[in-house]
Amino acid sequence: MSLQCYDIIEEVDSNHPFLLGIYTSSSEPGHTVTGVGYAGGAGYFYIKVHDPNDFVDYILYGNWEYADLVKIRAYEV
Amino acid sequence: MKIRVVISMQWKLLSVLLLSLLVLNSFGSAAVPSNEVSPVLAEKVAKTYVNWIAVNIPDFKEWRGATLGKPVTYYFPNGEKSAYEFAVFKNGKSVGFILVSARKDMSPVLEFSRANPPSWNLKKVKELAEKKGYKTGRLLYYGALTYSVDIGNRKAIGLKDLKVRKYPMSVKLEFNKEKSKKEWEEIANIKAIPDTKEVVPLATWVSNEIEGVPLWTSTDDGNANVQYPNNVGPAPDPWDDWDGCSPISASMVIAYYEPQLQNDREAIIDILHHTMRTSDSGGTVPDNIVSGINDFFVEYYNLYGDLIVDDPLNHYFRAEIYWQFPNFGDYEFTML
Repeated sequence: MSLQCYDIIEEVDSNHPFLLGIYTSSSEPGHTVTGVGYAGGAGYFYIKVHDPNDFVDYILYGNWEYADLVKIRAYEV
Repeated sequence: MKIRVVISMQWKLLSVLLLSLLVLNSFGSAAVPSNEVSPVLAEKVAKTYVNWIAVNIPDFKEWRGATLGKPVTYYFPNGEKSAYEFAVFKNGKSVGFILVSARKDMSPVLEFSRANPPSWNLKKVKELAEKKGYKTGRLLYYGALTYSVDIGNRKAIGLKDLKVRKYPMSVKLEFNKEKSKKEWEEIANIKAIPDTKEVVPLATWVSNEIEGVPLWTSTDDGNANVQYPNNVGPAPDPWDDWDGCSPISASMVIAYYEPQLQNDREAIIDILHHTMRTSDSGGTVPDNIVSGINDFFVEYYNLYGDLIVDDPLNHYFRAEIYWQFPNFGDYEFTML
């Protein structure tokens, strides 16, 4: 299934932090960050991420060659 | 006869005029290629967006009335300009940065953050490069979060993580070129930049975020002569210093659901490093990210039974991946 902006909106609005895999080239390793929010309007869509290099950033949707989204669900034991 | 002379004169004049225009146009192209954004226009974009962001995104109220530093230029690996970084200041203090595209076929604002600008780590990168015997070159940016410094031989040092990595010679970012060009035209036509008092929150602008997700990195040492699971927790690890972006990112999600583990950061990361089969250098295959999260609960409980971790879990976890790859089977990816 292909990743769309509304997948991210759905995850955030239902309080499910997610993993975003970002690939700027098919020949080099990608980078995984934790998605925690979004901001967008008038054609722009930014994803709020916690980078494991210890900083928070808003990145523009599509500023990559490929991306993937890992949805995570927690179920009570 | 007279008429002929006049016509001939007119042709000469016209030819001179056309030639002049051609020369002027080619000089103009050499100065700023048609797709390239000038630093002046980039600054106009940065000022406009800083004001919009300050009004429209709750995290950024501090950006109201902020000022900008001088632009720092980043390049694609092929040598073309890719982005301008502007530091954002409030009352003389750094309150973040905004990264503006240097090309009109890319959307105007690529990233913004309340963190210090990546280029502020340039001194550290230069010191590291010198230690390792590399010469530093241009600043590179070729997609989200790729700010780095060229050290030659297709290698760069990351400005945020200070790690040496290979960089691609060509990139294809997923922008709609025509839409991007229109956005740039609209911005170029704005006559006066409204300040934050004049900017009204956009009715079409939406934002939301999940509260309570920790911001984590890994700080335990690596390359220790110890075997998993004896390293689980703050003890040094048998692998390299860097535990890997995927275990660390997933640990933030686990800790969001299991707040009683917020003091066990290194233990969660180490267990995920194991269940995700992350390599010694921190690389993880995407499919293993999913199976590693799914296997976390059982592995954690084994270690709980062995008294290696203290707190019980309240949840088990299931992960699912949504790809954006057109031909995923053709590539072998790892995440660093």
